[in-house]
Amino acid sequence: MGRISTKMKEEFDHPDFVKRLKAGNESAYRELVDSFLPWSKSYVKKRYGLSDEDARDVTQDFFQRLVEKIEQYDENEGRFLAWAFQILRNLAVDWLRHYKMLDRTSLDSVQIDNLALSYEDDPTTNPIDDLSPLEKLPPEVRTAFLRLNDHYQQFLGLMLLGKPDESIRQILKIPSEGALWTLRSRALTKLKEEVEKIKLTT
Amino acid sequence: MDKQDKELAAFEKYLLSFMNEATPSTPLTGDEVIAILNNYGPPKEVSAEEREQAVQRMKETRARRLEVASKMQNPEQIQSLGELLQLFCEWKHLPSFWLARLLNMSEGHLEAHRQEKVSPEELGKEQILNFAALAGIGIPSILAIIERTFKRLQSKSATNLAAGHTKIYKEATDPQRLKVMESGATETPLKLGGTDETTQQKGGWEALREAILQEAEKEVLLLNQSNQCLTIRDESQRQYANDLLQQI
Repeated sequence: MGRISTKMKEEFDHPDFVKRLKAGNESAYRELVDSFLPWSKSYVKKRYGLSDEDARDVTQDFFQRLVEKIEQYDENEGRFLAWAFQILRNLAVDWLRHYKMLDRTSLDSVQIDNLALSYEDDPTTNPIDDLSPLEKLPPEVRTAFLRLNDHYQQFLGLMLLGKPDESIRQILKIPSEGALWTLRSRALTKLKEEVEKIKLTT
Repeated sequence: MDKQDKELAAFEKYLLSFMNEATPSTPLTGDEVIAILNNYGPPKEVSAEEREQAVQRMKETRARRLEVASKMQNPEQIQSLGELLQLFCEWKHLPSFWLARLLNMSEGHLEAHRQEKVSPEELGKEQILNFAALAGIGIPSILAIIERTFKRLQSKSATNLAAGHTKIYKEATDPQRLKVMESGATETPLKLGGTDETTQQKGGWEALREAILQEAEKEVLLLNQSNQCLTIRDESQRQYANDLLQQI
């Protein structure tokens, strides 16, 4: 299981496959789970720092959610994999928000409601989908962005979301302002280089 | 600031210029998703048990979706208001606090209705009408569901009463207790009766039911009137178009 192949994407994005999923075809369920479960589990573990047990819970919820939502998906769109990945990201972020909040203390429901209001502003505990800014960038920058390592991607995602330096430092656990400045400089330089490479080849 | 810093600052500014409301978001493509997943390296194998669990979960979810869909399309299969609230939240993937907010009530109050701990009458006319509109269920159907809820509550209360009778009978005929009574101990007389709350609530419900039906009739009347207005307007537009055609 070295790299995920475009063959998987073509197979899953095909309208016939989605029709089988919609019809509740068990072999389609098995094909999807066999191919996508290891990748989705690995992604949520590494990207969101989840334990094996937590990643298992999130991915099990993910396959359930896919079945619940599949009726809303138009099989002719041809982007099932991207649609499913968006569900996975949303679930992982929601899951983290929910459990991190419950972990904090044992609170009653009124306290939880109050906490939820202030929660959005707390950068250390408020997980965010830092891939979302990517959706606004032009194609060559998106491609270049995806060639960067995970650490650079996270930093740039947070920067593009407009998070203040102090919040970025807390989220990425960067010890000093100097280290953050270095990271900023390296991530931007690398992204700029990749964009230029892409521009040269196209 | 040296030349490189200036270039980076300009590049950062360029990137940030896309981060506004006006720039449309284009969802990730399948190829981009593959690039992201590959970026996180090859995954470890997942156990056969975990895979099987995921498949079973999908099968169970589908079976439940079909059941919920069938009931939502055939409200006569729904046994109570509590069941309808539960089905609606499941069907629309709506957390109960959202439904509570939509119906302008507390989550605790909604939960009490869902668990059939309070009389459906407490919902009130507006909330019943709003919920019927939200759920896309006709007024007669929701009224029938509420009637069935009353019957369930009545039978529950009768069962509880019967259980109470049995307990009292057993206690009253317990030889040990009788011995105690014979020896002169006094027992507090046990109440077998008591008011039947559900019967009392039903009286209030009849009035509420009437009010809901009147409201529904008013809405039908308004709807008919607006349809008639539309027909008149459509007719005049058709006439105008015909006149124009004749002039040409």
